[in-house]
Amino acid sequence: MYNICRYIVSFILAISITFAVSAQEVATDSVKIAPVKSDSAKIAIWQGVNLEADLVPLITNLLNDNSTFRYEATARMNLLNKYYPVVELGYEGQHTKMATGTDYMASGLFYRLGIDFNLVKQKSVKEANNRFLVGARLGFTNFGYDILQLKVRDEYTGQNFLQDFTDLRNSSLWFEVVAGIRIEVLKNVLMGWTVRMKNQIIQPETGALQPLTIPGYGLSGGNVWSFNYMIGYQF
Amino acid sequence: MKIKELLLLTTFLLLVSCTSDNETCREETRVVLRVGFFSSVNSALAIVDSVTVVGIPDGTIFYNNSKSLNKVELPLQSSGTATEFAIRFNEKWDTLTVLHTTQPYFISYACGMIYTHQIDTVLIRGAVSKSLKINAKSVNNQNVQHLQIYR
Repeated sequence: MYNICRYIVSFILAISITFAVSAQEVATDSVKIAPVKSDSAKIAIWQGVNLEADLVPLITNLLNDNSTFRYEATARMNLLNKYYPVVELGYEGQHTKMATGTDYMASGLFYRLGIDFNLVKQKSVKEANNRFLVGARLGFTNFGYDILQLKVRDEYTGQNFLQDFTDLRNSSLWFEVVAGIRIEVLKNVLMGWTVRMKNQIIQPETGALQPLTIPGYGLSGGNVWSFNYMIGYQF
Repeated sequence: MKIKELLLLTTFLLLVSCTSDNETCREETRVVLRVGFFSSVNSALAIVDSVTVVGIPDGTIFYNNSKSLNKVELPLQSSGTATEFAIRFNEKWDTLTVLHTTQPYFISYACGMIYTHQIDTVLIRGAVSKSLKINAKSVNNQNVQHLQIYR
């Protein structure tokens, strides 16, 4: 249910952003734009910072129960309008009720550090805040999780019994390749999305009671795709 | 390619890349000690006309006068360090004692957790069995023969 809602919301937001971009392009076409100097060496290194928040959880948090939520924010430094060191911080809680009756609950802070590169060649001052970004992240979380009603097989008695495992803790380190766009929809207000391909650097030990999902990462044990729709302000 | 076109293209690529969780258990969860019966004369597999296996001391019956068997599959205790069986080959009884350690082993959320065992020592006493051989000491959800009893 969570995934379905997320994708629907994402689709609606994507279309909205597309129309916003389209409208902006029509508007800028009718205005004569002063060309930007091509000599980037004369641009100051520090071009400001962009603070962003993920829009999707604002809606999906309302659709889920209290124990499934996510908040995520990004600070992206702008160096030469080309290099963007990024710090991301989030807090996620996940509650999964499985068909087997097992309840899984996890929550924790997650952190990401990385850098983006802007691939859009700047043609005008108006387009300076429109970016196509590609980059990489290193993600980390240390989180707590509970597993309730996990099926345990006792072969000698030939029966399954249910057992609770609570107050478990785990850490996870992962690598992300990211790509996304940012469009200036209002003056200094940027919107856009980021798609992420994530890969766990340290795989869980075989046979250990590993987490089902990891805050900031997603489903444990393999490659994960995810995306965010962000709104931000350029300082 | 304009940013607008790129946005539309990648949005649809994202939508088709959705995945779903799989909650069906497709792993083997059965953990048993697999024991084969062999002839002490020519070391070939030997069929026993009638086999009865009873757990000691709880009296759980695992095989009850089962006919024409050349192997049995026996569960080990998840608590404690020893599991003992009384095995009747036709009319005569032997006692099989397995000393082992036990570890919980998590397979997946769909399959749950099982107990695996590491065999330490195996003893057999009685009138029928002449000797035994340990083929594999790790008792888990893999299908391998662990013990050979020669009679």
